[in-house]
Amino acid sequence: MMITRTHLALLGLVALTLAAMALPFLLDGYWLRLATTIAMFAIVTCGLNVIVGFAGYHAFGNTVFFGCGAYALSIAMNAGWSFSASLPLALLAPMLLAGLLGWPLLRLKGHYFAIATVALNLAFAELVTQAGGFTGGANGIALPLSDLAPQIAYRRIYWMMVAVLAVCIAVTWWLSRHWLGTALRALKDNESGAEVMGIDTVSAKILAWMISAAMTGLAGGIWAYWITFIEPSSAFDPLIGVKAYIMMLIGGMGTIAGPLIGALLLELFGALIWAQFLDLHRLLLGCLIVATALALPGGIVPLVRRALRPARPAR
Amino acid sequence: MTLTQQNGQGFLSRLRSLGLAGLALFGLAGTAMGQDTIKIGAAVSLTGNLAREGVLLRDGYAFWQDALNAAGGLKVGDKTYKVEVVYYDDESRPQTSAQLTEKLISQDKVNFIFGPYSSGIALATASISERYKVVTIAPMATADNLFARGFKYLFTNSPLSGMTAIPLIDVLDTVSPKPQTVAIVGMDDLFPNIFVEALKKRAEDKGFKVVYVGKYPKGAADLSAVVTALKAANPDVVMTSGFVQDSILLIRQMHELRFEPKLVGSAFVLNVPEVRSVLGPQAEGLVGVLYWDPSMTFTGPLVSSSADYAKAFREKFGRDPNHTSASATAAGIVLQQAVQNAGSLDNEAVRDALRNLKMETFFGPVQFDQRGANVLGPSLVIQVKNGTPVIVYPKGAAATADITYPRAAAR
Repeated sequence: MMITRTHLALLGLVALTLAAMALPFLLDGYWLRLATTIAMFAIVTCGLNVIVGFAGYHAFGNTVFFGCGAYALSIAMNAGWSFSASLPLALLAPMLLAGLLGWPLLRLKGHYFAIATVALNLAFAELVTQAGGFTGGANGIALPLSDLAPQIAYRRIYWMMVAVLAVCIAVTWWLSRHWLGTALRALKDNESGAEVMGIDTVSAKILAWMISAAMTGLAGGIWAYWITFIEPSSAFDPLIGVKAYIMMLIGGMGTIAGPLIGALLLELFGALIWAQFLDLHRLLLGCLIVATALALPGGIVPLVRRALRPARPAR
Repeated sequence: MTLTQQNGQGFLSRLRSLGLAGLALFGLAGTAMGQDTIKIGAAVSLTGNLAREGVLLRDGYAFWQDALNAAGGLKVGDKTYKVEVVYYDDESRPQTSAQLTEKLISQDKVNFIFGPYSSGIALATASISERYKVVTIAPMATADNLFARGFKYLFTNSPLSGMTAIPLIDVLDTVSPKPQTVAIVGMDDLFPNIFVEALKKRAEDKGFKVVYVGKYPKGAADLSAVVTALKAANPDVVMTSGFVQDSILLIRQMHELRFEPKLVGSAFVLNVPEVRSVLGPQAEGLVGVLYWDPSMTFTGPLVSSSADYAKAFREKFGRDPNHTSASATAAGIVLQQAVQNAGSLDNEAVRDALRNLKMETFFGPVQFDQRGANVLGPSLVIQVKNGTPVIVYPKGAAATADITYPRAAAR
C-alpha cells in the first residue's frame, strides 16, 4: 500500500496529539492551565474558521454557542446529570440552535450577517438573565464540585480539551477535502455563481454553521466544568469571539493549522506580558494585534507556505 | 535488573519523572529563596470595570504589608518573617483571575491568598485555592451563596451581604412616626439581588408593608419606568441596591419625576465620595450602609484605631481610605493573627486557627462560622447631612447622630 499524503497528515496529527497529551507530566499547574486555555481557544477558533475562513460568513457573535454549550452543560449537571452525560448536550444544543437560526440568519449577507450574530449573542445573554430559575438568571450558576486533587482534575480537563481540539482539526482537514468544503469555498468566492453551478448554498452554509456551533459549544461546556461558576457576562463574553477572531487572523484564515498557531501565539504572548508588566499589558497586547494585522494580513500559515515554496520546484 | 525495569517503564513515565524532578528543583529553589518571607498572592482588578474598587483593595493589602514589615514582621514560632504580597491584574474577568490564582499557587508558591474584588470572580477562584487547600481571605467577596458552597479554606472578614441589609431596615424602627410602607429596587446582578432579597425579608419580618419589589437590567440608560412604578406604589421609604452609576441615575430620575419619598436608602454607594459630589443637593438625607468609617471606635493589633488608619493611609497614598481598603488591611491583620495562633505556616493549621479565632481589629470584631463568614462583622447606617455622611445607626460602634426623618425634599 502506498503511503499517501493523507496518511502522513493523519499520522502527524496523531503524533502531535499524543505529544500534547504527555505535556501535563512536564508542566506545573499554571502552565497546564495556560495550555488548557490555549487548547480551548484553538477549538473556538477552529469553529470560527469553519464559518468565516471557509464559508466567508463573518460570525462576530459566535460566542453565543460558547455560552449556549456552557449553560446546557451546567443546567444538566445541576439537574443531577453526570458530566459525561451532560457533555453531549454542550454539542447538541448549540448545533440545534445554529440549525434553527441559520435558516433565517444565513440569508443575510456581509455586514448584515455579522451584526445579526452580534445581536444574537446579546439577545441570548439577556434571555438567560431574564429566564431566571434553572439558568440562575443574573446570579449565575455554580456547578457541582468534584473532590479530586487539583493535579488530577485539571489534567483531565486538559486532556478533554486536547482530544476535542484534535477532532476539530481533523474535521477541518476533512472539510478541506470534502465536497462541503469545496462548496463553501465556492460560495465564499461567489455565492450566486456557486448557486448557478448547482450548489445548494443554503444547506451548505447551515451545515457549516452547525459544525462551527458544535465545536464552539463543546469548548464552552468543558470550560464551564473547569471554571465551576458561570454567569451570563462571562459565558456570553463577546471578547471570547473577538479573541478567537484575532487568533484566526494571526494563524491564517481558512487554513487547517491556523487556529492552533494563532491561539498558541496570542495566549503565550499574553501570559508573558502579564507576568512582566502589571500596568501596561493591555497596551502591549493591543500593539501586537495592530502590528500583526499590518505586517501579516494573511496570517502565519500562508506566509510559511510561501516561504517554503522555493524549496520545492526541484520536484 | 534495574536497567531492564527502567527500559520497561516507557517513554511517558520517564517524561514524568523528568518533569517531577524539574518541579522538585523549582520547589527547592522557591523555599530556599523564600525562607524568611511569607508570600501572599492577590489577583485583583487593576483594569476593567472593577478597576476602581480593585485599586482600593490593593492599597489596603499594601498598607498591611508595609505596616507589618515596619513593625518588625510576623513572628511564627521562634522565627520572624517578612511578608510580601504578590499582585496580578485579573482585568475584572473570572477566567483571567482563575489563571492568575493558579499561577500564584503553583509558580509563585504563595503561602496564602487574598481574595479578588466581587463575589462573581471569587466564585471562580475559590474553587482553585480550595482544591490546592490554600487559605483564602476575601474581604470583598461577601455574597451569601459563595459561602453556601461548603468551601473549607475560604474566609471573609466582612459581614455577608444578607447581613448588611438588616441595619438598613432596623433603623426605620427608630424613627417616629414609624414608616408603614417600603419599596425595594435593585440592579439585576448577583450582589444586588441578594441584597434586595435580604431587605425584603427583614422588612417583612419587622412588620413593614413591602409595596413594590423591582429589578432593572445591568447597564440600563433610562430608569424612568422604574421610577414611575415606584411613584405609583407611593411608599414611605425606597431602598435601592445597585452600583455607582445606576444608583446616581435612579436618584436623579426620581428627582426629575418629582418623586420624593420620606426616605431613600442606597446600599453601599454613598461610600464613594464622588457620588455625593455628583448628586450635590440631591444627596442630602440619603441613607446607606458601610462596613467601616474613620469614626469607628474598635481597636486591635497593628492598627490601633480607625482614626489612625485614616490618617496613615492618607499620608501614604494621598487620598482617603474607604471600607474596601480598610477591609483589605483588616484581612491582613486577621491572617497575621491566625498564623501567630497556629504557630505554623501550614494551611491546615492556619485554617483551624481561623475557625477558632475570636478577636477585634480596628475594622470590628471577628469570629468565623463553619462557612467562613464573619458573624460579628459590623455594618453601619450612614446619612448624608449637610453634604457629609454621618453615622446614624447602630448606637455604640461609633460616634453617632440621630437620623433625620422624613428627609427634607431636595431642591
